Amino acid sequence: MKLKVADLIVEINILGELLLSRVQPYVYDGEKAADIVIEIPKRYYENKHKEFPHLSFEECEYLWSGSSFYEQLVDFDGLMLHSSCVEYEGKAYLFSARSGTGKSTHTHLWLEYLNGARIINDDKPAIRYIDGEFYAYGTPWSGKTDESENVGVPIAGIAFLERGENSIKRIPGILALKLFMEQTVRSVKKETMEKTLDLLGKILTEIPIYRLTCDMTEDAVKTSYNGMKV
Amino acid sequence: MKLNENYILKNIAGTAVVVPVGDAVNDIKGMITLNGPAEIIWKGLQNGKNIESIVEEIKSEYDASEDVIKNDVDAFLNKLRTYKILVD
Repeated sequence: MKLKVADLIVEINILGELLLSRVQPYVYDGEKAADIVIEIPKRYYENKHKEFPHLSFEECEYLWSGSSFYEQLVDFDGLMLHSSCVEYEGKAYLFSARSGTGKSTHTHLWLEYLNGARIINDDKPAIRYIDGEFYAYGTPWSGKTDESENVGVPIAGIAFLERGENSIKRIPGILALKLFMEQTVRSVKKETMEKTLDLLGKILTEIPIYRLTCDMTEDAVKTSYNGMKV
Repeated sequence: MKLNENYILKNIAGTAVVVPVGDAVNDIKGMITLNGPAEIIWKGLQNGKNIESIVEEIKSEYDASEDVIKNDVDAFLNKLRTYKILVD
């Protein structure tokens, strides 16, 4: 079946209910040819399921079809950032951190305190560079929840989040690069990694990058919003 | 002297960084940041220059004696050999 994800046409074979349910908002019935093809044999997912028995077959399909999408995204000036992405007043704000740090908790505080805020993708937004501007997109691959919107929103800023007293500051490009590399797809293929690094270079020069330390109060939202708003 | 082909040199946001790909991801976790002289050495190796001309190039840009530069270049090359970044 065909999907439209991050403004790209994706041809994908779907086996299980989990992936099928997550792609519903992205189904495309137009005539355009596929930009990205995700055609993974059943046996591949079965092997992943054997390798990671705590994941069901359907979860394996969901996770590794997503990996395939994000690996191919680099051919279209795009990459994934492991982050929770929230939209407010037409701009996207991304909060990245290792799993368990509280990035999703933080964006959900935005929903609570900022009227009209919504989650674009709670775990793996796609970032694309289109006509001189960076956009964050919802995708069918959004982690444990299906909190994702099929939209692309111009990015205001990216924050790497840690727990602590509420404060935010801009960080230099080279430090941002190290943090970014830990939370994106690192290809072992030279050509793919070259493209990823070129795109990262562009992101780090054009998008403000912050280090945010925060707690779980309304003050945390004020700190990040006031620090990042454009 | 030849650089292992499984490393990418890029200038990102004003800094020279080296990132492993392929099998090299098992040797170096993360990435390496190069300072100015190290970048000159890396690019020199990429372009097949010998040590003398690399030292000469550093000398023209940095205020240090030839001996000091030679020692530093040797130390850097040895480090690259240790991590199998420089092969024979």
